[in-house]
Amino acid sequence: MANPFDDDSGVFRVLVNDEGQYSLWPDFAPVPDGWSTVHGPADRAACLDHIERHWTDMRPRSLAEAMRRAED
Amino acid sequence: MAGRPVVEDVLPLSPMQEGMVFHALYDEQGHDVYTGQMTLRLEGPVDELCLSAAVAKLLARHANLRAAFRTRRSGRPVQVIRSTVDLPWQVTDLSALPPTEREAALERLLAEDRTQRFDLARPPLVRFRLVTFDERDHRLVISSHHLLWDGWSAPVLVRELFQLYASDRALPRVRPYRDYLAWLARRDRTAAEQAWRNALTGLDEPSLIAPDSRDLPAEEPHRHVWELPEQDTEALTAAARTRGVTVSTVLQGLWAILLGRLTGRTDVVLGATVSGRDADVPGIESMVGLFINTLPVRVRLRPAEPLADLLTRLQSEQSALLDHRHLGLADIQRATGHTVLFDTLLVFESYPIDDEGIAEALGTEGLRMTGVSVHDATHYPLTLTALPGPRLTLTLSHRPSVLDGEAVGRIADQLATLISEFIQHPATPVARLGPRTAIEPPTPDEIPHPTVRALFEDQVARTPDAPAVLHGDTTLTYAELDARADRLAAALLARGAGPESVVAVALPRSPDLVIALLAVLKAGAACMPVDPGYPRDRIALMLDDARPHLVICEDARQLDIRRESVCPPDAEAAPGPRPPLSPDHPAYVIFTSGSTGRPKGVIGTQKALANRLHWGRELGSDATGVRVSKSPLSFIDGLTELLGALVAGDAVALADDEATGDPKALAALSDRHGATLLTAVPSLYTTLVESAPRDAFATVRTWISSGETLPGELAAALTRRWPHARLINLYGCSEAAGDSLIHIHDGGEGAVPLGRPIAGTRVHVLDPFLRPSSVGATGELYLAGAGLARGYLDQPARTAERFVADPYGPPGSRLYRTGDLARLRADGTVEFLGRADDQLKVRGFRVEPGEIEAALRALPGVGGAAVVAREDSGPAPRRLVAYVVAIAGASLDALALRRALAERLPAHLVPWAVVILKELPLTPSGKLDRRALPAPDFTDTAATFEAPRTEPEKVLCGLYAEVLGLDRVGVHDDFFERGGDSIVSVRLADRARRAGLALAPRDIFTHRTPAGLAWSLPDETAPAPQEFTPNGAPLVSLSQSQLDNVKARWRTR
Repeated sequence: MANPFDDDSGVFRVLVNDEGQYSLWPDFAPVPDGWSTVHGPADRAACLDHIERHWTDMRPRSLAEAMRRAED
Repeated sequence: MAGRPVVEDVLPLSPMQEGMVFHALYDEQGHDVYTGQMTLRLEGPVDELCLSAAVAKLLARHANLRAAFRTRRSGRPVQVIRSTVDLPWQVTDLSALPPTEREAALERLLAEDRTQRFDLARPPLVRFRLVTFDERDHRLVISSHHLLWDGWSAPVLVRELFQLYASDRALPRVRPYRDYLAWLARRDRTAAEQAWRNALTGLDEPSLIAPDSRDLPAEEPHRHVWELPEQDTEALTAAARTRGVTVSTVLQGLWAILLGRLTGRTDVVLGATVSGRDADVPGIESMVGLFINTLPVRVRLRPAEPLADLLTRLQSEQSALLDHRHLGLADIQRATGHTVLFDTLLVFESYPIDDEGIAEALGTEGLRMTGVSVHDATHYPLTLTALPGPRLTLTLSHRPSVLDGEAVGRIADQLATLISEFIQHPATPVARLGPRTAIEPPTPDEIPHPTVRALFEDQVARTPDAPAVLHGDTTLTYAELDARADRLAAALLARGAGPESVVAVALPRSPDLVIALLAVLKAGAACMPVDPGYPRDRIALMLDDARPHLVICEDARQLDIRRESVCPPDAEAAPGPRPPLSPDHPAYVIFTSGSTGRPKGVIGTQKALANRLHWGRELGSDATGVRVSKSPLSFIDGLTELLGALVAGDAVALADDEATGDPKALAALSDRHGATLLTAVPSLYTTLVESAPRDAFATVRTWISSGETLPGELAAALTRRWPHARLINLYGCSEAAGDSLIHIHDGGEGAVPLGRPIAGTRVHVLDPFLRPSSVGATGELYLAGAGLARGYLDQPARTAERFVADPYGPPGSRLYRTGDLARLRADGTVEFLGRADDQLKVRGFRVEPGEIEAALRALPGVGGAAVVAREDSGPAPRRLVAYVVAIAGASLDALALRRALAERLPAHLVPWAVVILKELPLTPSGKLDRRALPAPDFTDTAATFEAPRTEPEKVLCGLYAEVLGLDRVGVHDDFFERGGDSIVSVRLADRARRAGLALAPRDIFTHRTPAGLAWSLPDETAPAPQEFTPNGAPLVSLSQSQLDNVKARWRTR
């Protein structure tokens, strides 16, 4: 079975949701609700590289903010 | 036609004829699907004698209608042309019947006729029957074997028949079929084979919609027929013309898209029948014979490609094969290294229907032909036949035992939608073509308990005095357990652990372990269970990756960790306030096998684990129960098994290592504590059914199976043996808190399905275009809902490609793609169909062969490596086998490689056998050819064989040979290096006990050889132990980690 996320020759986007979570996304499919494109369309490696560089805190945004507020 | 028949000619077969002879001989008793039947309706007076004379002349004209098919001693089939044959002519008069009954009588006649097989050795393979309704209404039934002629030939044949009937005028000389065979023999096979190799290069697998149907007996197909309205037919033809493609190409492309959806593949192959009438043989268009050929059409679907572009690309790819369409399917498969390519067929009936010619032949007066109906079939599970005309007629013929009418109806609907998409929106990308399946919007996730500690503490409040932990003679109540966990949690908090930190727990299964896990969760940290029996290297790797804030362990030196990060299990502090805990904080870090050579850590959330545990309360019985904890704790199932009991008010009985795989010890544990719920993998259930003591497990009310496919026969055997216990199949993974689907075994046939989603969980089966697969179609399984993990530890890219945006969930939600292939039943039950990638499941353990291959390649002298799971003999379980190729000049020792791996990898990743090869076998497309990998051979013992000397040794050598399936075993042969494993060790211990030798499976792990075991027996009669093993390595030199590893290998869950 060919999974579209594994297609090395495919065209992808990098999506982010409100919680700052990232998703690789094949360009052929409509972008799901609640997600927006932050990179691409581009090749797979470029998208993964973007994610690797930008997703530095894997905590959901609401949790990270709550923890910051608690510290203040 | 007088005189004794003589052999007039002996001819080879065309490729298509060869295929049909194969199918006819394959099952000589059953239904021969290649028996065709054509019924002509004739109005007007018929001269019977004259018509039978015309049939005789027809058979005299066409030599190939007098062919018999025989197999030569070489195995090669030939067609033998007789000079004469008996006239196959019958007359049936139905005119005595009331007119209303004649049609039914004819139908019975036709049905009966279709069951009359032709004997390929007795020509002619054709018969004619004139059925008279009344003087002016007749049917001429022409039944024949498809070997004789194809659809294109039929109108030629009918026209000639009536020409011979109506007039004595001689017809032009026949161009004989042998001319065509001679033309075929002159083709350039080498060029054709190369062209087909090019066309199919890189193709991994066939496109089969019914892979299991090949061995089923042939049957008469059912049909689903519909017509495209005239307007749509015109629009389709016009749209095809605009794009410069044929309607046939359009249907091939649409069928390929449908096939992609049904098989879950983007590189698909369908079969297509070509007329063969483009061969360069003069007069071929008016010849009678079998010229058609069935050929593969390979279509690579690109999700973003506009449909019209796909069709023009397909047409141009096909044109490269125009000169090579004479090659038979069997030859193409041989040349490209495939044994099968497709099981669906597309037939575009492009032959001219010569109604005028026939009318002309019959003359203007008297007899008229007013209708033709044709009945023929193929052996394929599903065939689409398109009959052009003012209204395009589409017929889906299907084998009813393989595809039911409902499924075919859905396929027809999809095809109809695709045709109208092509007419109206030819620029739509392939992935966005209709129909769009509506998915019900999900109900919001309800999470009754946001954190694991809250779940546990609520339970403590409900049943403080109930037993919580049972271990040997020790019992801890809920209140005692809670108090001790609180004190350790306070100590952890005092050492700086808390939410968002990781605390590793490296303890053997004991009350201390339970306390430690709860303490970590109470402190709000994520627990990371580490099996202390793992090799040091492995533990170091896990600790390096997770950088736990603390490690709870007994012996820091043994684990090679820094003293300052160690917390002893008996540390205590006075409980004080705890930091707040969000359901989004991590609750666990579990490492799973990683395809790139390193294990990967999954960070699961409080919400996910709490959701799973809260749901799991209902797994037990109503009354207070006892759940056994025996699954390895470094896996998610070990964690949910243990904590599951403690949030449900049940006691958890802790198994010793010995009880995790030995049915006798497990039964003793279960009976001692009155276990009501037990979780195991199918391979252990096989052992339990085979060799659990009589009356064992009498208290068990719930069996849970997880980790790998539960075969239907095993489920049946288990419920037969323990009829009072229910059997539950769970499916899940670390990435979704362990379990996502549940099926309560209901006695259904075949492998037990994965079932339906648990609370707070949604599942989707999606096709390669991320659209929901229709019922019964193969797709990939995706999980969504409360159980999803945060992701992989420090691996954002890997997380973002596995945990992806969910198009079918609440806005902004995520899906986890499992990599498992599945299909849905109509009621939403999910069935498991295998893996989409290389990942393996061996005894419930998730194994990435890439990780073991990387470990092998890191060893000196190893060039290439491949790891597969094999099931070689009968009931033997799946076992990992590694194939290794040395770098130039290096020499490798299989046993040494295996030992080296055992020092680096946890037991479940150590291959059962290492096989050294000169090179790894490859398929024509350059991939590893798994089928060509040899089974490991443990029989070569000449160098090490030493005969038994004492009676116990003799008995043991005999038993070793028996359970290992070997001819002989020497006294110093190592059980594990000769192919033994924990499952087989149970069998060996069982046989030994019956033979009067007191052995436990554990003894086999400790002593390994017949000599060693004989020496260990209580009433020892054997000579003193030898200081060597067969390969010369002294047993005593095993390192601690090797010994631990041997112990760890014992734990098969």
